[in-house]
Amino acid sequence: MNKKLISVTVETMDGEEVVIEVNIENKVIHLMRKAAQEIGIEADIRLYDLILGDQRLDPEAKIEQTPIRDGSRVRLERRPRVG
Amino acid sequence: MHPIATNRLLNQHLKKIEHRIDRYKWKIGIKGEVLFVEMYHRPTRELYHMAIVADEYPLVPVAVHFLPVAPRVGEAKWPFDGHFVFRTNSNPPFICLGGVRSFIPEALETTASLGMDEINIGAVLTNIDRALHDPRYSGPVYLRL
Repeated sequence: MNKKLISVTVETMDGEEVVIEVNIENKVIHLMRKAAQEIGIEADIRLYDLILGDQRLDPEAKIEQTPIRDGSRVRLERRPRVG
Repeated sequence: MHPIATNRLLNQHLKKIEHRIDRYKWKIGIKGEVLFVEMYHRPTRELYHMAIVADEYPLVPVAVHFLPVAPRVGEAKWPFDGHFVFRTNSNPPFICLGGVRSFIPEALETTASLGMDEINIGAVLTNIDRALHDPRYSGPVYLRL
């Protein structure tokens, strides 16, 4: 079994959920892109943040450098428009 | 849209984010097409109350109003963030956030470009919570009703 593969639940703002399998050596943005593809998000992923609890994760960080673990639940959040 | 259908849809959409409601300890009551929401600024435990009017949801974005919090019942309690999202320097005050009825887009955008992912009640609540926890937030301000 590949110990570097973990399963992460990614939820959207409106409550849709997908479970994504990802290698912890990948960057956070890789998880974001995979989730976006699975959910069917067509907008530029750079408009989104990945949130764990109250923490916004650095898209360029490797997953293993973040608090994401196997079974973690994160939220893919589109940055709101402010007028 | 018929009020009963709106109410049912709101309940369905809120059920989809019940994990988030529990995690952030939001309290939400629905009466017809109006949601009454209690939300905390988590680091300081400062409490805010909102009425969210969802008539015509999801065809029209919801309208959000901050309410008084006891014991100061003659004044609405608003978050202050330097007039970034919470425009408390306006009369009347309003929330300038995509997905909320009072949103005033930048010059080149129109409200027609808003998608369901912004108008959805889960997104609106999450974005208000996000604005409440933005570094610009510095506490409550009380505005006479």
